[in-house]
Amino acid sequence: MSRDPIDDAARALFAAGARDQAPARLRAALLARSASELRSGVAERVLRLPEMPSRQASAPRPRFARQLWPVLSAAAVLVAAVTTWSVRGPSPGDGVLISAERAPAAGARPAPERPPAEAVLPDRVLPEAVLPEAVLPEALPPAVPERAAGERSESRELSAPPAAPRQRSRAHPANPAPSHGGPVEREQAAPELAAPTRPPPSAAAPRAAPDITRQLALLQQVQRALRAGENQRALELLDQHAAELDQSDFDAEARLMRIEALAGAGQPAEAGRRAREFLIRFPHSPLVDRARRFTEGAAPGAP
Amino acid sequence: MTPAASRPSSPRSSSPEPVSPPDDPPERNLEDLVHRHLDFVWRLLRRLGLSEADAEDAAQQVLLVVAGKLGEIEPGKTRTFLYGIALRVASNARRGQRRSARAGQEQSALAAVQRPAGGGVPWPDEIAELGRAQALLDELLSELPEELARVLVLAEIEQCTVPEIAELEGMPVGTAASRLRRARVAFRELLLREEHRNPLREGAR
Repeated sequence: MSRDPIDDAARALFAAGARDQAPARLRAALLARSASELRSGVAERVLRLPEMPSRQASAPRPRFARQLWPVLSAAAVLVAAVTTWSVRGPSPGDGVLISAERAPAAGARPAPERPPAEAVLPDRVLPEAVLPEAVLPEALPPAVPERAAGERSESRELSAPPAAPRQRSRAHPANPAPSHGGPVEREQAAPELAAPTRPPPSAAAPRAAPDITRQLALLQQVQRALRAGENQRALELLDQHAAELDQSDFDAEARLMRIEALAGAGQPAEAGRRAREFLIRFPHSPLVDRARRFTEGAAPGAP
Repeated sequence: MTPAASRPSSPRSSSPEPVSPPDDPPERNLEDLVHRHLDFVWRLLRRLGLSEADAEDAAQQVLLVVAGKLGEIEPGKTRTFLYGIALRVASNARRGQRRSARAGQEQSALAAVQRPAGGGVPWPDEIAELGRAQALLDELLSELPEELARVLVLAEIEQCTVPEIAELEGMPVGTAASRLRRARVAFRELLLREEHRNPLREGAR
């Protein structure tokens, strides 16, 4: 963090961005909607709302099915009539009643027509455009090849509208390929702690030393433990590699993870103490607010 | 996974929440999503170049979609889910939005009034300053390749660690670290070029 190119001016800008909050009217509208959903007990509406346009646009009924329904409807009418006649036996006027009352009902709303429409729902709860399963891999655009800083700024100046490169990069989410890393990113992909990889020497990545790969793999293991609620395991990992991590580029992150693990492991006082240390040691880290959360509730010496 | 609800609670603040607070129980409904994640989604959509009007529509869409899928989301993954859907919705929204060359320039002083996250109601000059700073931030972010802007927003605004960024972006941590490094350097270059416009720089006040 100490080699962070983000200086005070940039930090102030990001702090301004962090102060941005959703408009009160948006919050109120969503909360009102939530209350309304809960009251009416039709939370399913939330599920179905976004899929309406998609159903109309992208799920036309096959033509053969459209042609089949009148035939099936007529058959249903015949079956219903025959069944009724055979069960109740012919009596004067019955035939008129059946044909007059049941036949139009069956014809207008054929029984088998609804199930297919309903059966589509579970799989079509969301429009394909926002299916979360597909979001993450597809949302990752190909990595921008490593370029010299000067080259990047030069090309930016040459390109007339600033939006152009963003539009191009945003077109990629449709690409199913997850991520095509540049040279630096590929060599750093999927670091393993047990068998630390030795990335091939690369002139483009002077900082991609093996120790950084290992540090990141360590942090990822700690993160997994934290995510799984295995706070003790996270603490053990941090203890095992304390010396290594303390010297790393990710010292602040490791310390924050330790604070979170301590809080999760039922040691809020120690978490608070370390959080206060964190604030003194890394006053300009972007993680200070996260650390501060643990100082606010854990007074010194608190159980 | 240990049930999140069994973990001890920790204090909260109005600052950006981490990717998945280890102490929070799972979100149960739209209201939970609004309380915990609306600001995250809002900031993300705004920093990714959506106008206020479009961001309102998009934020509603994101939260409603996720509210409908809450039962299927693995505990602790809600924010990852929200992030992915927000990216997709933002991408769709931008197609229909004519982005001005200076994204965020329409940031109104009125909107800033609604955001006294630092406590208290800001003074008018502070509101104007905040609005100008956010507009400049959005403009600079819009000049970065989006994949760099995203990691920068996650790290510097949402206070995510590198492994958390990697999880949200679905990439290896090495890639996230490398991308964040490049993003910081690139942002610094951009800001140096526009430093005179930064209302928050030393000597500007």
